[in-house]
Amino acid sequence: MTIDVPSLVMAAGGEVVGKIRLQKIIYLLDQLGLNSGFSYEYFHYGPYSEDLAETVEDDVVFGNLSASQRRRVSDGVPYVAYSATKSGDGDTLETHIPIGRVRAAIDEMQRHSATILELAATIHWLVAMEGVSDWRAELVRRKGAKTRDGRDRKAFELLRSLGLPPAVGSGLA
Amino acid sequence: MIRDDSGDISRILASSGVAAGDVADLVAAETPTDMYHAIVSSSFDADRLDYLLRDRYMTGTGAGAIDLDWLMDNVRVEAIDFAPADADGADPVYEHSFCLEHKARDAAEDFLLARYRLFTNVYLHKTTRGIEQMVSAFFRIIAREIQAGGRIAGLSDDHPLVHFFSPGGDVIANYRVLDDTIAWGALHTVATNGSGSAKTIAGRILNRERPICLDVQNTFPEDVEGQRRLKHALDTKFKSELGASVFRDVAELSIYGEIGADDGRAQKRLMIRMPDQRLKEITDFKDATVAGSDRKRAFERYYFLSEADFRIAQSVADSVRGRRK
Repeated sequence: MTIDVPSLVMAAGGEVVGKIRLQKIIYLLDQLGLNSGFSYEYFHYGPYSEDLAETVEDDVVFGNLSASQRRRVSDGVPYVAYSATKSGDGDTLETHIPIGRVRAAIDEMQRHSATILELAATIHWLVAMEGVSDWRAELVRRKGAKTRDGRDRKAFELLRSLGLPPAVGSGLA
Repeated sequence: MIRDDSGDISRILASSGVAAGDVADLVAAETPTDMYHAIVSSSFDADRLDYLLRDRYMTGTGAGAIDLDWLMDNVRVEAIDFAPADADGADPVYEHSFCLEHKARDAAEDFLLARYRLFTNVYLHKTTRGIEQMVSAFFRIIAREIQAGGRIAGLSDDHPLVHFFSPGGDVIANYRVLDDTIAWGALHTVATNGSGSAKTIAGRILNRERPICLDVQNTFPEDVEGQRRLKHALDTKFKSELGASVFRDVAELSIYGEIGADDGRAQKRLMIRMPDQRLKEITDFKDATVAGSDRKRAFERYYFLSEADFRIAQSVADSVRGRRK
């Protein structure tokens, strides 16, 4: 059984904008102990769970999640926003971690752009899953322009505020 | 492969004065780092321009013609926002890449439709995918057996495939020798001297004996709930055969091509430069004939090696259909 994604969207204030944002929020929450039941692989935008993507699609089909198609104002690039007003049939969020901790972490993540979340999740993956020692160089190699303008630092600071390695605990910072 | 000092690629690049590491970094970069990246991976990259013409010609499909000359006349370079689309676009990530002039919009739509049709008619064709399922199964079976310390009847202990699939054997030096001659040779040997599923599948590949296909979308067109029930029923019925003699194949397609991972890659989006120099994503036009990338078409099939299993699957579909009436 996996966690209830509609409940997580409600904990995020009722709406999560973008597939990448939703994926990275749940990945980082899993590193905090959420124990969502989803498994991850590394893909183009960093850690990604196919199980989670399928669960979200099922939740949309069965009406537990609403998916609204929108477009970026500047250039019309499409994206999707997920909203929920009632829980679905997955596991409750607080099974392994206090709900207050989940909400606080989501609030912190929601203050950042999807790019920062992608970078933070990727930094964590590089260190914790791939064991890359020079993660800064590898991050630049993989993410290129996204790491510029201080985004790599902001992503690292996000990990620090969440209490996750390498910003906290691994000694690799 | 590119970075490997003992391989041919780095030597050929070096002879042209190009550092292999720079090329490898360019290919591996997930986000564009400079203009050159657009040639490797963009809405208008060299690979697409090549395969759209070549695959159409070589397969003989009538669909998917493009006006390459007009497209090339109208390709331009602009700073494009590669950030994931977000609520307000407040954190743009600009890098130079290709776009097309507004007057080439129709040709650009044809370009996307041509790719879409090549996917539906060729790359995701049920026969193509069925053969791919058997080839994957063949390698999966022998890899699993070798990893478990077993031997593959027909393959000697010093066969390159045995080296590669042995514990610790998945290194570049072993991978480099796995060319099509080695693969076809292994299929012949296992089909002749092998045993079990590997022998059966190798023989079918060599003799072009396609697996029998049950297409979920064709069985329940426009009926998502019927499709879901059918998949659930087939997964339950063939639980022990899946991956061995029954194969489930899943792919999704949007106007930008096959969908994988979080979203379409940002650099693959086709941007149109308007007369006032603004950029606009090609599906964002009110009168666009190509739909947004959020519209996905699923290709879900079950492939059966045995006629008897296929007949059982058909009866499962009939049963699901009966319950839906």
